[in-house]
Amino acid sequence: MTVNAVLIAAIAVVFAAAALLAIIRMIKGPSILDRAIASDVLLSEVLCILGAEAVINQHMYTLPIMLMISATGILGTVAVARFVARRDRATLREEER
Amino acid sequence: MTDTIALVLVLLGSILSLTASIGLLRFSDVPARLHAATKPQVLGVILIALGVAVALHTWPAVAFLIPIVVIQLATAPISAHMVARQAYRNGSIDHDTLLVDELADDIEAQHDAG
Repeated sequence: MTVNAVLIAAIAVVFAAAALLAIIRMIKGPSILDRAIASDVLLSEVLCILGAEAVINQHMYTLPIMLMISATGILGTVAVARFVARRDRATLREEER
Repeated sequence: MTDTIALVLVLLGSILSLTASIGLLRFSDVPARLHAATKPQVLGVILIALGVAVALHTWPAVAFLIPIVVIQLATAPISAHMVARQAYRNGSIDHDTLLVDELADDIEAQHDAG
């Protein structure tokens, strides 16, 4: 019982530190692509935290949410990458003129 | 006992998340950060899905977990590829750190073709 309590506390601390570091990179990130990567990492950490919550509380209410996050998580990063591409082509065209 | 095994698996997954965040903060340019970012997306999710399967020990949970892992394995490379490609075009890559640069040859060939 005490072993499990220690493990749960360690999991909580490690996840909190990981999310905090990802948010720091999201604030500092020099380019928008760094921020896109950081938000992707933060989303997969949310996925992992939902799974950890299901393990700790012994229920499966969070599993459909995990499925939806893993299915739609790609959209944000791909949209940011496309947006950056279009803006870059526009600036290139202006430089050519 | 199965609870402890599941919690140890979840702890390993959370440590992978932490290594990814440390790499995100310490590495210098976009491709290096992408390299760090793939750890929780693939290995961490697999470890935590194993932990959930061990803890809940029911087939409906496994039926949820297999699509989660398969979708994650299928979509993580797509977003990483698109971000890395835009980083290359953007000029946010340090070209001195690249040993082999095959995309530069391709772009040059494209320019020559008109």
